[in-house]
Amino acid sequence: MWQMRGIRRGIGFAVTLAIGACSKNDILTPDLPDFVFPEDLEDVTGGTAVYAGAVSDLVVAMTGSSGVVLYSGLFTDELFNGSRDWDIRNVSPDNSRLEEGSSPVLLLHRARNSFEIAARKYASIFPANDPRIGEMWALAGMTYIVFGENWCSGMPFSDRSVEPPVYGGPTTTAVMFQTALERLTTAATLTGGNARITNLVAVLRGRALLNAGQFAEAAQAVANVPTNFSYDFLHANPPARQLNHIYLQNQREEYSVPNREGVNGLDFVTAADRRVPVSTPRPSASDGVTPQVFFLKYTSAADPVSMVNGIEARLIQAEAALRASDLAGWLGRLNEARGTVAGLAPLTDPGSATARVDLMFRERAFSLFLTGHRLGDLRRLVRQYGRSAESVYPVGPYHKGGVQYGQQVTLQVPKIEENNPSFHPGDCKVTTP
Amino acid sequence: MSRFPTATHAVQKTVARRVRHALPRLGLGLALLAIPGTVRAQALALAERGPRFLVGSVGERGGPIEIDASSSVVLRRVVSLRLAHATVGRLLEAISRQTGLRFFYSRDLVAPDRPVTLQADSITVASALVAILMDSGVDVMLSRSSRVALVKRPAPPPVDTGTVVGRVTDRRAGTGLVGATVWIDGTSRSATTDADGRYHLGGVAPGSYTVRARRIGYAYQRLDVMVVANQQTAADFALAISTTQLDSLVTTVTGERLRREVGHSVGRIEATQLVETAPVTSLTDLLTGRVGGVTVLSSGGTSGQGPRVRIRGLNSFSLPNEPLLYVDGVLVGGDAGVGSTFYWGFGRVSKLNDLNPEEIESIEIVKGPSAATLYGTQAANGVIRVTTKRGQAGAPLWRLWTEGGVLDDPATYPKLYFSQATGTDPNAECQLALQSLGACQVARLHTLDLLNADSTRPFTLGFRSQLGASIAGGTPLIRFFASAETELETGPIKLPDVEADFLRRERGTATLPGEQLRSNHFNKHSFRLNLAASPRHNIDASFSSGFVVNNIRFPQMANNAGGFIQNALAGSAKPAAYVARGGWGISRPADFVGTVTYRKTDHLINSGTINWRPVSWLGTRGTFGLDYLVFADDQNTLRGQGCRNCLREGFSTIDRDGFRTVDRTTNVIYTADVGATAQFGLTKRITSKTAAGVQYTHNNLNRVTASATQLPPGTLTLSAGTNKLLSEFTRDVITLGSYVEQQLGLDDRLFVTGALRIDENSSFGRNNRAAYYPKVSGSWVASDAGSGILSSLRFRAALGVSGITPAPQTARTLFSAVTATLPGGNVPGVTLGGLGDANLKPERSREIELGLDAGLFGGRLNAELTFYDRRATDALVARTLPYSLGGVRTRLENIGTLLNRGLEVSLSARVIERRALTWDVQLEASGNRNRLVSLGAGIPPGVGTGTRNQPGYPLFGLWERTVDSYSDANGDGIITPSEIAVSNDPVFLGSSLPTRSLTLNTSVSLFRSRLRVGAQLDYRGGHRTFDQNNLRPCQSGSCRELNDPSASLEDQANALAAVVLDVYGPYVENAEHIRFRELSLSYAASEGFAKLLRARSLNVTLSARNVALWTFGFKSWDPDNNMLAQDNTNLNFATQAQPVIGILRLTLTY
Repeated sequence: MWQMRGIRRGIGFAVTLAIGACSKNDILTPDLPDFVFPEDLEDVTGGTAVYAGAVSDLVVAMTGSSGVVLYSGLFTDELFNGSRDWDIRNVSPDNSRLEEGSSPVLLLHRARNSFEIAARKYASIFPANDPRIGEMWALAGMTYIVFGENWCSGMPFSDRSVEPPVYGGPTTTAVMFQTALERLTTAATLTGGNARITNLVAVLRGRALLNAGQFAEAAQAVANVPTNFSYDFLHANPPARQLNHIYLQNQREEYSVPNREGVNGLDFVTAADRRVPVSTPRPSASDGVTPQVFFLKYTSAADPVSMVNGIEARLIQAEAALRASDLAGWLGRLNEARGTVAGLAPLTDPGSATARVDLMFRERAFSLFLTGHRLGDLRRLVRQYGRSAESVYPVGPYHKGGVQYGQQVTLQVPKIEENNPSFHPGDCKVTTP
Repeated sequence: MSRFPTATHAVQKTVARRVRHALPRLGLGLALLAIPGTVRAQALALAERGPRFLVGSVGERGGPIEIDASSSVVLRRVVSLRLAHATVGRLLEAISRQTGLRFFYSRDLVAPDRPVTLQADSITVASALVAILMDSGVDVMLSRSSRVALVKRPAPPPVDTGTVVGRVTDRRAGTGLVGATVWIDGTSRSATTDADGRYHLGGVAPGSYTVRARRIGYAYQRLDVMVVANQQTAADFALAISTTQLDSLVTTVTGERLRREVGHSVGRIEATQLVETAPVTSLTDLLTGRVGGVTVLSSGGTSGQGPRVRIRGLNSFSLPNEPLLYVDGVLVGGDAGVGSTFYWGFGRVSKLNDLNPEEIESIEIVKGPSAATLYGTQAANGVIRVTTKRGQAGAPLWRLWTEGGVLDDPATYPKLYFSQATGTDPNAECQLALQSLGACQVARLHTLDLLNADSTRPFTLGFRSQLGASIAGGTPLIRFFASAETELETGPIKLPDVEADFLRRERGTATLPGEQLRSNHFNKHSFRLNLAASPRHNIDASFSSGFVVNNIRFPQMANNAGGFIQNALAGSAKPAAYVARGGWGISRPADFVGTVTYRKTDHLINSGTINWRPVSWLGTRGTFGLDYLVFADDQNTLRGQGCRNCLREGFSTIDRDGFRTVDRTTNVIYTADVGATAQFGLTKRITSKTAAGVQYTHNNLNRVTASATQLPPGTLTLSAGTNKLLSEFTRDVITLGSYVEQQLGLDDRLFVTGALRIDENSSFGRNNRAAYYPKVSGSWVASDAGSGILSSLRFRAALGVSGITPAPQTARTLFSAVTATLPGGNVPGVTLGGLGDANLKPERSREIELGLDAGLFGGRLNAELTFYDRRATDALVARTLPYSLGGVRTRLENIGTLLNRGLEVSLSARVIERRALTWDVQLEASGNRNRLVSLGAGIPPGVGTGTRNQPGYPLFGLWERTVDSYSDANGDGIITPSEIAVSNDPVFLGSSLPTRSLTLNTSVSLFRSRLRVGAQLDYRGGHRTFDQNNLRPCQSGSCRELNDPSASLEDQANALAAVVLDVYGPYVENAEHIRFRELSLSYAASEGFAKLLRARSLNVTLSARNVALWTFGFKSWDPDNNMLAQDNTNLNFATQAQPVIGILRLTLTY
């Protein structure tokens, strides 16, 4: 009898197991609180999180420790010391700063993809007239502008909004600005009447048009932007993600503000211009050789950076006026921009076309110091004003180490991109402005 | 049960069964067990013949209940019965008169006129009724109203089974063997012998059977018996000592099997004797050099560090190569992916060393997929099965042990050199190459010997101690093993005397904290309780619980801005450097010892197993377990202490303003394993075993890391910090597997097994919900004669598949959480994360294993030869994604192929066997050829630090550019960079793992085994290591090669190539070596001497570990070291040599 009971018990046990097996989907569901899955982001709350993350990515891409501002600053005459390869314009495509997890290329593409995916997805989910949709299209456009200004003609743009992802092929500089304008055109219709976003779209549009050589259209785009408008990239400490590394790295003496770097560089230190407040040079603790100059505009790692503003709008208008030979308008707009900083004397006409262009770009350099504009401007000097690269980029012997400045005029596409089947090493033209 | 005689007389057959019924009737309870055998048997027989005492009624639901007579007030009452011509009826009336009880009965049943002889003055009612109703077939039913019914006793259930009982003895000594296993072929019946060697196998259906008995170290024996219903059948075994392995048991997923039945090799380590006689301080010491194909790779000699274990080479380059660890059938975690978040001072801590060797009975190594198929998705790297000790029935056996030992750092370290240029500045430098180029002239050569000179050497004697006790014993019903141990070890690292003086002066105190003077220490406390019960003849249950508390304090070590060896190698002999930092590099010991690092571990491993054999042909089992591991990595620096220059020189983001990091990890693994095995004799010659089961494992890991900087003076709390950071990480992997296995045996010589496991895993992609792992194996025993030149011969073959689970989040597209700063403040955000692969599946490894086992000269020489070929297809490769996609850098895809092929030879021999002298030799040899076959289309070679994964070469092979040639063109005895020719591209220089190993274990026993001398010599070869120890001083310009003109031209060229041309090939050195790993002298004192301590036995062992090291072309101190103990980073740098350890150990048994 007991044997029969045992068998019955065994069968019961097996049935219990079988029932357990039927609900195995529950059994096999792991606890993964660290990650957010697409299905968690289907509503406004999710969209807000995607929006916030993308904005954060863009801020880190621009002002982070390996951000565009610092590395394009090193590449030009805005910063020196630090990473020598960048400083002397001889960056290898497998340079660690390009390939690390905080690579500005990676972060810019991440922000771009996030903005484009989110702007499309949440257009119908966010409340009507929510300006964040327009803002995301605008900032997506800004990523194309930043790529177009700083990176070589040939940068690919892949799209991970579809499955499987579409690998992009090489894109010319002109197409990058054109794509930016398309995004900004969309953005202009979705600002919800929000003045801040409307002005953001306008200045970015003017910037893209300026890069595309459409000066009059650029001036027209920014005409209504007030001079005191500012779209700031925000920082905080803590958390550690969005730190103002322009301040931090400078304070750590990893970078210094140069003075007339490489023959053609501007006199950022000796000019004593209030737009670029700097400290008195002293030997750098990092090497004992480089004059260490601190940029005193920021006082903490939490200070915001005005990345898009009305001053740039006036500068765009000024340049368009110069291109149109409207010297009064040109000087007026320049002085209007200078008027935002107390103690700056009004400018007068230097008298020659060359000097006017020099003054125009000097004003841009000081007004937009360490905002990621300088490399785009140097390239425009070559591309739109016929200057030679040797006359605008730092050249000659580097200040230490016995090396010379290189020939590159744009930033590189990281070697990692060669894993993109549509991209090939020769697609990135680093000596073409 | 075995207390009863094993006679076969029919009357005595069912005594054991009846005892359970008889005892309560007599009110004697378990006390009867204390009565001597003959008296007890009589009492039992008496009880069987008397009435049962019942309460309730026949008609009641559930029927009447039998009670213990002693528990009834009525039945305990005393009566006086002295009647002439007494009959049953008259006696019952007398009781009724004296007690008021009223008896009701049928005359046909009770026969009241039957005469009874009973004269008693003071007898309990119960005893009187037993005497009156003896042999009447009547039970006594009590009611609440003093009425007593005498009812007919129901017929006992038919007994249709028999019993096999007997004793297992040592053939030579005649003494009983405890712990021998006796089982009946073709059934699930098995038993373990008690302390006297006796066993009892009940519930055996009538018929003819083959009964087997075995014990480790003895040849198994079988007897044919005929089992008769209701009878006991005796089967006594006398086992002969043998070294043959064919009939030893191995543990498989489906239960224990004879080795002859399984088609793959299984390495087995008997821990008990090794622990007593060899210098074993950890479980990994037990593993080292005992089983071919198992490579234990040291990360360094720091106390508390743990090695890596690799079985049959490297099998994966994207996933961990750690074997699985099972303890008493329960999966144990703790290694892969959960290393410390900081490595200030150590490479890794191994979960293996959470287990106390004293608690371990045996270790089995399941080497690869051919054997590990049924372990499923995580088992491709092999499985280590640890079985802890169990108690045996018998008197409690106490063991006490204590040991004391010393540790010493055996290394000789390089000096620092400084070439002072001519002139007045004593710090002006003029290295050889500069002198050769005419830039300067050397005036004087300074040297500094920080790591060897007495005053600055950071090493002294370390010490260790151990104290423990265990008790084992029990009854046939329940057995137990309990142990407790405490172990302390202080490593050889110390704060150098000069630095201690400096620190005392700086702090203005005579006393310094102990953790800064001796920064390497651990104390480990381990506890274990194992219980085993056999409540019924067909049910066994066991429970084991082990708990360890291990607090390790790590020194500043390895590639660490504040590290003893690193700072000595990066120092300078320049006079100014000596003044500034005592000659040390970035930071001096007096500063960096202010940072104290701890790993605190609490590890609880629980396992419960139930074996139930409902019918003779079916055995079921269930194992349930919980592995609960909590470890905390703490790193503390008081304000004003710690590395002084690290921040300024860019080696850290924190300064001497106080910081604390707390890193708490909890890893919980639940295991459930339920299965059944049915076995039949299909014919007289063919046997069948069919097994099926379900396994479930849930591995959850959670880590919380918090840190704070800018602490007020004197505090070390997170809350006091000005800047705080917090992060959390969770990993969760669930596996549900089911399997079926069929084995057929022919004549006990040929066994063929086929099996299939199906796994579902939470980490698989949604398009690959299940993985299938088949296996097939065969074993043919060509000879098992047990004598003659070829005493046994077996051929075996196995083909199996298993896998490695991908990381949990890699199959899914996901976002990562970030904190974004927007207008209005910080808000939660998400950013594009992994681009998942819906087709992701486990890495699949297929292994073919072929082998033979031979016993020669009557089993005195045993040889095992095994060839394996393992191919991992669908290997997970981290495909690098282009940055234009955004997201993360890589995505795992199943696109690679790996190959491991090798040969393993195991020889064990008793070379001499005399009464006074025995000499045993064990040789374990293995060779492995590891190749990355393919990486998948478009995947570039994976480049690590000093390693590379390139198709056609070994995984994590060492690749560097090399010096092709050099010549001293100007003949000045100095090489300059222009006189060196180097390769343009990195070239393959060698495997990072040994490709061949040979271990000799030998022991000689003298004076009737009272004195035993044991030794282990361990050879490893065929591999290289990136030796940065001699390179680092060159990178600081302080090595001999760059400064001393007497350095060879080759050394000068190599150093210059590294420093000037970034060519490191010459520093990838031959790591081949022989290590005299163990030497021991063990003495078993005479019984008389032991009795002086009132002990049963006394054993004294004097042993040493890492006695000597011979290298072949390796230039620094220990070729085994790997700074981070990682496969993809082969850096032999700034880590301590494995220390020489001397131990004196005392073991007493009571």
